[in-house]
Amino acid sequence: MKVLIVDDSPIIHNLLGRVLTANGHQVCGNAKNGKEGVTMFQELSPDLIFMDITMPVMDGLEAAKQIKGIDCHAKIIMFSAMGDEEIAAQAESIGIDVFLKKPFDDYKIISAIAKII
Amino acid sequence: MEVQMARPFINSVKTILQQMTSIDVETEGDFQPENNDIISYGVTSIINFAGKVKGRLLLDMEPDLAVDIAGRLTNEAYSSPKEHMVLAAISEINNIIAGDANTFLNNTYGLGLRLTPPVVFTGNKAIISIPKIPSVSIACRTSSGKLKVNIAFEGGA
Repeated sequence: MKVLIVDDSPIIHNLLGRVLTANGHQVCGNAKNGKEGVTMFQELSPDLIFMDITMPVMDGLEAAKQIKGIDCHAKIIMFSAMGDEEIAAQAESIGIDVFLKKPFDDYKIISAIAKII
Repeated sequence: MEVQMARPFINSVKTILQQMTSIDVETEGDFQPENNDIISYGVTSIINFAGKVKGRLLLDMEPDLAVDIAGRLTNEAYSSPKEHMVLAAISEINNIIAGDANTFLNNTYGLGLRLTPPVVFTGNKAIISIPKIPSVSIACRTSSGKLKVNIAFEGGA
């Protein structure tokens, strides 16, 4: 699968990138904020997007809304350091396929992908 | 401020560092009121959060600990706490710890807390002059160096 990672932390690009690559996926792009994520989604047509919530410029919830507006079938796994019920409900309301609370390990990441393919 | 508001943060420090880096954190004593400027061990990260109350989590650590955390997170070797990936690692760890503790506080007390992106800086013996809101600190040690955890809350807590 071609995967786009959207997170302002290069650590998350590194962590997710290693797990995805080791499991046969291709990271087609790393975006640093939601705005870049929307642009890269249009340019790269990824099969799947990993999207953080708290980011500068444009947060992940707004970026996910815009991406779903462009392609309602876009597959998005959203994650955040915060995992309370309100945030999970917000993610669900915009059609997010899977919500993960950080930290995540290999198993959580691969299980999340398995849920949506 | 109530120490019970600070406890979730030290619990998260221990849990997250063990889970993500296999580093064990041992506390030295209990929380103490912090009335003075903090003299940094070398690497500091601050994250603010706000909802029905406002607060701040400050993690201050020795450079060797910061380098060790970054190395374990990324499977890369670093030699200086000033390296970009080391600072990014400490920033992300602070974000995840604050998020974990705030999730607990939101689910327990309905505080509606939300995080702002963390800031991180390095400088040996830098004096951190933080806003004078009520805060508590707890000293910790790890196999790679010392860590100080400072938590502040204001407004209703």
